[in-house]
Amino acid sequence: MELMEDNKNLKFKISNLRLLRVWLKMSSMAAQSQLLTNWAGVMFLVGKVVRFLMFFLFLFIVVGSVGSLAGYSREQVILFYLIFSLIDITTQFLFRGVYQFRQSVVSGNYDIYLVRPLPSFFVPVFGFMDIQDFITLLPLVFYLGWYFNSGSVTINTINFLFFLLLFANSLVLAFAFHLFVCSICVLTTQIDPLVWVYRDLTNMARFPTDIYQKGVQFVLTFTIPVIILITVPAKALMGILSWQWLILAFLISGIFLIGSLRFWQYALKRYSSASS
Amino acid sequence: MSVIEVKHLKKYYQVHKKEPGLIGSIKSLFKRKYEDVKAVDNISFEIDEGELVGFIGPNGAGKTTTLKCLSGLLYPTAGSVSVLGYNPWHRKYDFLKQISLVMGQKNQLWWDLPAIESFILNREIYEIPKKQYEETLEELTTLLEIKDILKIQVRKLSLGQRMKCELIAALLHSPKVLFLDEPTIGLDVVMQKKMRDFIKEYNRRKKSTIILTSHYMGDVKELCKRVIIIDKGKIVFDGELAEIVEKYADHKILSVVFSKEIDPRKLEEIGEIKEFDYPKAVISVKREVASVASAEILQHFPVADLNVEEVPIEQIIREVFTGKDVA
Amino acid sequence: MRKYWQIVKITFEEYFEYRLNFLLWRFRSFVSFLTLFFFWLAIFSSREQLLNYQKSQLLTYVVGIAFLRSIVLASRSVDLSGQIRSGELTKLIMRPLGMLQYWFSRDLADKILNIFFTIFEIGLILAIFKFPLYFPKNNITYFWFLLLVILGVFLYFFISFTISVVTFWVDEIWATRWLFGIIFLEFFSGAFFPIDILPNWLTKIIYLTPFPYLIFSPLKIWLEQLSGFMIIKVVLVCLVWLIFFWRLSLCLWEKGAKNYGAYGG
Repeated sequence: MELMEDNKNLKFKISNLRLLRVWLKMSSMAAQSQLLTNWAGVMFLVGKVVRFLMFFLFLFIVVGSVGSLAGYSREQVILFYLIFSLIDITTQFLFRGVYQFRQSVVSGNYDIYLVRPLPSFFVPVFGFMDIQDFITLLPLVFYLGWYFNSGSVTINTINFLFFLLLFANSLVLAFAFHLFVCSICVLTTQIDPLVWVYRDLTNMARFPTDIYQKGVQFVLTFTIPVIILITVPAKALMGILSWQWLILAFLISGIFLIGSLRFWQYALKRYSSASS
Repeated sequence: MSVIEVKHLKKYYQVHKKEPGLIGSIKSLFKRKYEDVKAVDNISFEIDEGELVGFIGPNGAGKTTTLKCLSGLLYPTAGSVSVLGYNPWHRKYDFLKQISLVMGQKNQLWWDLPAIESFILNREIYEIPKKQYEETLEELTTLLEIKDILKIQVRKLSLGQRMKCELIAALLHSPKVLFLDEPTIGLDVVMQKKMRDFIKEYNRRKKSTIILTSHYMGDVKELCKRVIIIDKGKIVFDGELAEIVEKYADHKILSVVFSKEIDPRKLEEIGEIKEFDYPKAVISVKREVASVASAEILQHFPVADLNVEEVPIEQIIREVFTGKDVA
Repeated sequence: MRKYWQIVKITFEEYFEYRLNFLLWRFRSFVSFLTLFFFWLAIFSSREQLLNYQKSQLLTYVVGIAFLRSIVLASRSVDLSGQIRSGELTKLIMRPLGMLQYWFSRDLADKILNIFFTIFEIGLILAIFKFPLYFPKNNITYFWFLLLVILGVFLYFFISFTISVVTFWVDEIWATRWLFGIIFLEFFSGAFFPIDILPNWLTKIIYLTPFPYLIFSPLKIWLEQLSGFMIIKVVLVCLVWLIFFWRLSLCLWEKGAKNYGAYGG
């Protein structure tokens, strides 16, 4: 009996280890590929930095001259934006594969990936790590650390732990959503609009979402749960999250994850695959 | 025990039709008409270990669809499929680790990196033990003669070299069942021959079961003892290639363009005239005498152009279809 | 003339075909409008004036952004890069159509459709929130506004066309278009927030680019915050930029089309 249990656990560990090794290998290959095409990389980097700085400046000036936004101080508003950037960049870094997926479906290359002993969604979702995102992530994390230290906003350990927990939760939720997008892509080969809708709605969380009408907030919690994704971890960090929201966050992620996986299975069945 | 068992497999698709023009577009906003396309319509067959079977048929016959059902890519509308004892649709890793799918124009190698990197990736994916990996790599690269190009970026390789690397990537894990979809499409004559030689040798050495689809008669003739002809989603013939070749592909087609008027009756002495529309003529001659016949024509007639062709597969199938006794 | 109308019709058809695409595009525009609107509404919740703008003026500015985006910024010449890369362009070059007219016709279809929807969306928001839009008190303002908008339309068209034409020489067109056509455009044209809330030194730099004349300047005219002298200056500078990009895009296009060897074949 015990031997069987051990075997099962071992198999589980080994199979997950294999996936991790495959992911690492793919990441390193992706990084190598990208270091070879420099010009575009530089422009994207410049653009991202410009965008970040401009928005930062915008918040700084406008909220600064008003003094508060929806009851939050300027420092808090800026923190909301920083957390938004953190989660946004991390999810983009992990799930960039989705942007390439349409091409591999339309060209029929996806068939080759499907025949491999990997989860069917592995390449579509995780297949392409963008080293650039990683590069922009590092300074952001440092700046965040500095921001905490500077005392503009008070952070204590418990809040920080909850934040980490909710951050992980956000990653699961983002995964579920990106998987859903891949399912739509398999069914209709249309992907860009949906991804952009996701990005635009996510962008709404650059501001503290309390500024939106209740109706809008409802949509942002239960359709594409942007509030759960971004605002909730940010509020946890600041220690202003109620436990009801905490429960809700995990509940929604769970539901989305299960629903997304089911829908993906359904999409695969309807997969018609580009014929020769 | 057969390695592959297919029983009453069906795969139907739904395609929507749209009327042309602006009105048609607006109409399709509200109501769409769907049509059933029967890609595979009730086929059954069994394949044993080590067999090298060819699926042939015209474009759109259902060959590739069948292959994709066998490899777990498509969900059958009806019927059962069993490969190595597994249901391919369940995509169990143990199953996937034993099969491989190679599709003519699709690639799995990373474009900007050397082929060896993609090989290492596959080693990780398939969990190939180091020793086995190195041995297999050695064997395959020697067989295909590409040892020295492994460290060059794939994008810089010629088409032939790339295809060889793709093959290796697909075979590193020594699959028991190999699906080849149109492996020689787009290749020049030399490469086609090399590809066929390799497949034949691989099958001989490894005793792996190989299914290949093609619409080139040449592929099938060189490689397959057993052939399954598919047309419009149904199996039209399943048996030894020798039978078909003997009965149906026993002749070749000569297409001639004459530069001056000639007497068609003289032409009849050489072979059966299928078409005559000056200056073009199409003659059918027995396979064995094709070259002799060509020489004769060139010698005795004013020829601007002469082509020797295989009987097109569509024609063979048509003939098989029109009920000549095959069973 | 008829053939250009045909192009407009075909573009409409394409939109119906990719209707999902189009609807989601509209949704996107609506969402970005809504976001900004709510932000400013919240900012002004406890006051009537901020940084030189009255509440109604700034909210009108936001509505103006949504409106002008659909008129000035919507553009199909983006497709040009795709066509160059895929080698499709050779087909088009062979047809007896003026290149610029072709793309402008496509843009026209795009703008018509977009304006239609934008008016509907804005109307919806105004109906729900019932706040007073700022309308110019002088009639002459309308004239200047319209003039600058028309100039802006052409200016943007030529800027966009220039960027697309660069595809003849540069592989990584997406990065270029993204950086100049989206990021710089977004912030420096005032399509996100009025440029003059930024520190002086920064606004001075931005004014050296052609971007502010697309959205920011027309709206400033509408809000009657520019003196008569400033208005004339703005119109003239915009005209200069327009001519510059017009000549530039034509010149680059001719050079590029000559060397175009059905790349991507």
